[in-house]
Parts: sequence; structure tokens; C-alpha cells
Amino acid sequence: MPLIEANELKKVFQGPKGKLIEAVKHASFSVDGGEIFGLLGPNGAGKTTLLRMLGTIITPTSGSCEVAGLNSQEDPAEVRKKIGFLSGNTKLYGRLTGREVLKYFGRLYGMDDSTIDRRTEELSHMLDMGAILDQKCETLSTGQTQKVSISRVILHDPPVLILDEPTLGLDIMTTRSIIDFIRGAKERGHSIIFSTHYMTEAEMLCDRIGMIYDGEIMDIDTKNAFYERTKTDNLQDAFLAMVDQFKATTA
Amino acid sequence: MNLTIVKHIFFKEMLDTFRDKRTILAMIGVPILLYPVVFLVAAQIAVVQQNKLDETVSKLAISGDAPEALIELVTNAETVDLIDSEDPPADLAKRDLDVHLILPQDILNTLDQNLSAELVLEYDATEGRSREALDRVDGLLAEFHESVLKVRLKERELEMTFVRPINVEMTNVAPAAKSTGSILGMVLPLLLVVMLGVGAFYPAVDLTAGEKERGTFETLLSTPTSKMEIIFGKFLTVFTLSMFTGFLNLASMIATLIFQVSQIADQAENMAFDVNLLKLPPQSIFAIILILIPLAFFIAAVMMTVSIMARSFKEAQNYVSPIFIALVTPAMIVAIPNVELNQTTQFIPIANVALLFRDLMMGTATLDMVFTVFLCTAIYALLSLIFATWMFQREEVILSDQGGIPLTLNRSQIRPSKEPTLGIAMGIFATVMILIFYIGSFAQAKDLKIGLVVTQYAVILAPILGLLWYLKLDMRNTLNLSFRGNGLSWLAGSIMAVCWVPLIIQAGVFHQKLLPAPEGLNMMAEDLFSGGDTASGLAILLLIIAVSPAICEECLFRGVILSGLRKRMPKWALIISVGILFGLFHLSVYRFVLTGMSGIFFTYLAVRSGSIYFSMIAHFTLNGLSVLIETENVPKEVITYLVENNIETSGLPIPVLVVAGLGFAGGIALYEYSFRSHSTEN
Repeated sequence: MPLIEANELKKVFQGPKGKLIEAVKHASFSVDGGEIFGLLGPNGAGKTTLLRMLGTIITPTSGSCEVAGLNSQEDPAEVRKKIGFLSGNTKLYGRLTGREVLKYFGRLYGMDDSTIDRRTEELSHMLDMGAILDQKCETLSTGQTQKVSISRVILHDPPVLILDEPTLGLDIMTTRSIIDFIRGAKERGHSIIFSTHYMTEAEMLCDRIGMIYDGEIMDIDTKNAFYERTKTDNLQDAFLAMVDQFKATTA
Repeated sequence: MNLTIVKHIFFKEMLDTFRDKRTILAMIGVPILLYPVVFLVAAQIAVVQQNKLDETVSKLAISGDAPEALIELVTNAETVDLIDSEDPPADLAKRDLDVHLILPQDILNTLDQNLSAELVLEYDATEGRSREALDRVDGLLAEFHESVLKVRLKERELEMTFVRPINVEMTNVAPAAKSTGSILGMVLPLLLVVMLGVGAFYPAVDLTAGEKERGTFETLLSTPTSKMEIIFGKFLTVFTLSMFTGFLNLASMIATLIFQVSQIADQAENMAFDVNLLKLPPQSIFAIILILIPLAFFIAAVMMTVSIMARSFKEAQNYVSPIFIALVTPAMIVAIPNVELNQTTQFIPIANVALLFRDLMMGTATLDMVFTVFLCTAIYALLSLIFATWMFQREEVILSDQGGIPLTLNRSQIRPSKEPTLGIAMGIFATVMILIFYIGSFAQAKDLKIGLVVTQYAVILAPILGLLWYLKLDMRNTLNLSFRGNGLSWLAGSIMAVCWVPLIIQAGVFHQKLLPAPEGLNMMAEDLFSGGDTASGLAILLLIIAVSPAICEECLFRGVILSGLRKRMPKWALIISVGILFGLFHLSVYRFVLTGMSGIFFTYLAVRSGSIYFSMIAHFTLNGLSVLIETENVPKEVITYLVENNIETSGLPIPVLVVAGLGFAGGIALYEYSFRSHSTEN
């Protein structure tokens, strides 16, 4: 059974001067347990909007989506309990320590304090955080912050992880720790959907890739299938070929 | 809404705020350091200046032939020096001269002939020393005047009393507390609004726009927490910090003042400052604390609503600053003479609190006014909070990078829903209440009966239907329009409705003893029930007082509000909550308990049946029977019985109450039974 199932998701925004902008046009796909699904597309293609709809942070204009068998519109709070959501905009409270941040979010997820403490210790070992957790978040380096953020995302052990450009603007060391984390999560059976515009990351990680351009999911397939269809040997060329093809058909 | 989650958010926000050094400085540092320094330095300067002024000798120049006696008075005065001046106006301008006395040419003759001489004193009102000199010279002239008068009277062998037929002594009979109250009542409301505003300002901006700017909002939104919980947790923080700062400011200010007064009393005893002025009676202190609550509630809600719309800290400050000024302005109403807390001013936000505060301090506030002002303020604050929640639920407000105020209210963007949320239901309630404050009370003041009709249909029913349409809410489900129950339910409902009337009359008798209603209310009732002696007049009365509320008020309370609340709480809490809101709706402390009780009864009928019609019938029966009794359209025997037994003071006879009570209890049992059997059929 797929853990994420998106059905004809559509999001229309009111742009400047009341103009309507279709940020995402009828997106449909599903992601199975233990699968990494990558959304590949340039800036402004609608990746963030799509992932925010899946994370129930915004509501779709039309269409529906299910996470772990729960309907996102009917029961958004329960759906959010099944999701760990990480994006460039999910920062941490600078004036709190890592431990305080985790306690706060744990409580918001309805966990009791002893479970939160136990989980915090586990994650502290797993991500080798040590003293980091007792420092205020504003004093941490980017890499350390990222570790606390990851702990925040998987604190409540959600079956689904939604990661919106998790490596954007990070140095190579931190990027590697994120990639290791995504691989580890897959091994532990999480379904992961993540967006990126770094082709190499997608090549390394994804079981399947959805190519998104101008609010439209052009196609979903494995990377090898994309190589074959576009007669290329890397995702960058494959993506550009797909866009050309897409423009030709829609024009 | 989960209160535990609200609590977690509240504690986290408090911790977060207190970790911020800027906040600590603005909220704690300023009152503790600034007031003492500013006040004491200002006071010291004032004292030093006053002493300097007392010691300086005023320089006086006289033009014209001065009488001997006057010269003697001036030269004998230690604080006035007579100097020569070539050009007195120029010397006055150069400050070489403080005051210039101009005598008429023929002053000596004029005085000898027992006539009146016109003297002129030139001084510079903008110079403290010149004003002081004026006082001194004026005093000398008064002495001179007295001495001349004595001589003239003596010549004619008259006593001083001849020219002073009466002496007036003015005595201030206001008790010290009232004097204090009147002065503090003028100054404190303004100060309190400013202080609470200062306390709410920073957290309101920081917890909304600040959080947006720091990029932690999306983190919070990805948790199962509802937006309502987030808003309430944050609001509670802003409210608490506002109160906290308000108290701290007040305490620091009072402490500084007391210290300052003792200092001044030592240094300059002649200062016109009454130390007793600062001895506040305990009830006044209680009044201050009492009034801080709704004020802080309102100010915190407004400031938060405004800051939510901004995308950055700076932008929020730009929005909140003018709002702050707008909030302070109505508090100045207390400075306008003759403005009282009345039917109109009690609805003006902030101004009503300021006026009530003055009345409380002077001990002239009435219970009804306290009730109404608290209720009004609570409703304004609630509406503001609902608006904030609504804003908060708009994705473009929370997540957009564009900021600004989204005013697009396109109906096509709204998804249809089965029943209103708590926020929408409370929003409709608050909107209707505010329309009643302004339109309803105005219309009723113009013409009571037409005003009541306008209130019911234009102010209550029309906005409800309009908003339900606009928000695409399912009317049938929201207003509980489905028919439910069977013949037995209707019989039971009717029995209860009829038995309720004597029970509520008896409750009214008790209530009158505990909390006697003022005459005004009864007068209004007589006015309302006039014209019921003809058939057409009675029909109109029934239409206005019984039919209209049974439709309009029921749609509001047993329709929208019930639907918005029912999934939020257990049935008993739901019944009591809607009943209390129904009691508050009647806008009078004297009617609150009785209407609240009836509200609980009506709500029970609607909740148990899931249908609005039972409460409509009960509402109609209660109001209809009241009309019939008040207009004496019941069998003569009943009226004579009621009058003879002095029902209004002694209550109904026990047998009647027993029958009504048993009938009501039986009605409940039947009603319950009818729906139990009904639900098993389904």
C-alpha cells in the first residue's frame, strides 16, 4: 500500500493585481514505503507548493491527497503526526537550546516527556550530537543546526519524510550528512519524498523521479528509464530534453 | 482546541521572550530605571528653580508720580527692588526689568478726590521671574489699596464692613478619596493604556512578524498543532506580558512618586502638592487591577492582529505604531468636560474603559455599567482575536514573502463546509453584538418597537444568512433545520415550555430580591407593552416580542453558535455555554441570570433533538405568555389572582410551583424517552 497518494492536486494563488497563478496543475503520484521519490525541477517549478500541500501546511485548491491512509483535508492534524517536514523555511528557535526545541516539538506532537527524553538520547547518539543539544540554537554552526533540525523531523518517528530542498545552501560536509540521513531513513523503512534542483543528488538517491516544470509533472520514472527515453546518460541532459519535448507538445 | 497544547505554546513563548535581552530591557529595564531617573531629576530641577526664584529680588520700575505710601511699601518689601529705568519696555525685553508699573499722570489728584485711578502692570508672561514679580507687586498694590480705602472710610466714619457686605468662604466638601479619584481618574486611564500598549507592543510584534522573519513559522505549522491553538498560546503570552509590564510600570511610577513627594515635602513645604493625594483607597486599587484585565486583553488582541499581517519585524512596527496612537486617543475622552458613561459612550472601545475607570475611582460606577463595559470590551477583543485567527489561517498571510494586507475576499476561493468552525461561530456572534451596539441600540432609542424589529431581522437574521451564504456553509445543517422527533416529542416540548413560565417567574422574584433592578428597566417594559389592549395592537406585540426572537435569536444561538460549538465540548458544557452566551446577549446584568437560565433550557431542547424547532416553540411560548400577562390579555381571574396575592414580592403559591415543577420534570422524562425510542427506530 502506498504511504503517500496524491490525486490531481492543484493549487491556484492570487498573484499581484488579482491575477490567478496556477502554481501546481493536477499533480498525481504515489510513494511506497521504503521508497525515495525525488521531485526534480528548476526554481519556481512548483516543488515547494506541492510539498507544502502534502505536508498539509497549505490546502489544495482542488484534488486530494492521502498520507498513511488518512485524508489530508479531513484530518490534517493526524496526517501531520505521520509526517516529518523539513525545508529551508523550517528553522529552529534561536533563543532555545536544542534540547528545549526537541521537548517543545515533542509536546506539540503529543508525546509525553519521558518518551521525548528517551528519543532525544537515541537521536543524540545516532547523530553524534553530544553537547550540541545544550547550546542555544543561534550559537550553532550550519552543520550542527542541520543535525538538530533532522532530530526535530524524526523525533516522533513518522513513516513519511517530506524534505524540501534539504541541501540548499549547505556546504559539502553537511550535504553529505543529509544524504547519509536520507539513505538511513530509507533503510529504516521510511517513505521519503524530497525535492531538489541538484541533479547529482537525485541520481544518487532516488528510486523514482518526478520531473516538474512550470507547475506540471512532466513524467515520473526511474532514472534509467529517463536515460533510455531521452537517449542521454545523465539526469541534467535528460531533464533538459524532457523540457524541450514538453514545450513542443504544449506549444 | 487542546488546552495542554496552548499551555505548552504559552510557556515556550514566555521562555523565548525572556531569553531576549531587548525584551528584558524594554519591559523591565525601562520602568525600573527610567522613571526614577527622569522623575527625580525633573523634580530636583523644579525644586532648585523654585528656590532660586524665591531668593531672587524682583526688579520693579515705576512710571509716573507715585504716592508716598506706595513708595514706602515698595522700599520696605524685601523681595522687590525699585530701580530706575530709562526705557522700561526695552529693559523688560532685555530682562533687566521684571515688571513695570505705569501710574496715570494725575494719580495723586484722583486719589485725593476719592476717585478711582487706572494702573497698568506690564510683565512678560513667558518669564518665570516676571510672573513671580507680578504676583509680588500685585500683593503690594493690594496692600496699598487697603490702606487708601481705610483712610477714606475713616474720614466718613464708616467701618470696613460697609464696603464688604458679604464675605464668602469656599470649602471643598469632596472626601479625599473622591478628590484623589477625580484627579487620578483623569490621568491614569491614559497612562494605563500607554503602559499596557508598551508591554504588548514588543511581544505582539516578536511572536508574529518576528517569528515569520526568523523562519520558524513553517516548522510550527508542520506539527499537528491547530492554528487556533497557536494563536491562543501566543495571545496568552502577549496578554500576560502586557499585564506584567503594566503592573511593573504602575508600581515603579507610584514608588517613584511617593519617594519624590516625600523629598519635595522636605525641601519645599510651600509647594502646592498634597501628599494625601497619593493615598489610594483599597477599592480604587482593586478597580485599577480589575480594569487592567479587559484593557490588556483588548490591546493585546488588536496589536497581535495587526502584526500578523506584516512579514518582518520592521514592517510590523510600522503597522503597530499608528494603531498604538489610535488606541491611546479614545482614553483622552475623560479629559473632555461633561462626558459621561452612558448608553452611547459605553460602546466606544477604550473610551468606555477610561470613563468606567474614572467612575470607579470616584465611587460613582454602577454594577450594570461595569458589566456592560466588561462585556463590550471582551466582545471587541474576541472579534479582534477571531480576525487574527482568520488572518492566520490564510496561507498568503503566513507563508507569502510579499507581506502586506490581503484584502481579497473572493468567495470563489472559499470551500463549502457542513457547519461553522468555532472561530466562525464566535465571529458571527461578535459581529451581531457589535451591530446591536451601534445599529440596534440606535434604532431602539429612536423608536422602541420598530427598533426591536430592525434589531431582530436586519441586525441578527440578515447578517447570519449573509455570512452563511458567503462562507458557503450548509444552511440546513448549521441552523439545525431538520425536523426530528415524533408526536410525543412535541407534546413533551410543549409541556416543558408551558411549565417553564411559572418557574422562571418564581426565579425572577428571587432575583429581584437579590439584585433589585433599577426603575428605568421597568419603565422601559411598560413602554414596550403599551398598546396591547386592542386586537391588532396585541398581534403586533406578539409579532415583535414573541415571533421575531423565536425565529431570529434562535437562528443565532440554537443555529450558528450551537453548530460551531457542538464538536468542541461535551453536551452538558455545550448547553451551559450557549445558555451563558444567550444571557450575555441581553446586555444587562439584571437580565443575565434569568435569560441565561432560559437559554440553557432552550439549548437543551435543541441539543437533545438536533432540531431548532423545539427551542423556537419554547422561546415563543415564554415571550408570548409574558406579553399576554403584561398586557392583561389573560382571563380576569388570573390577573386579580396575581395582583391580590402580591406575586411580584411574595412569589407564586407552592401548589402552582409544585405542579409546574412536576410538569417540567415529566416533560424532560417524556422528551428523553421520545428521542431514545426514536433513535432505536433508526
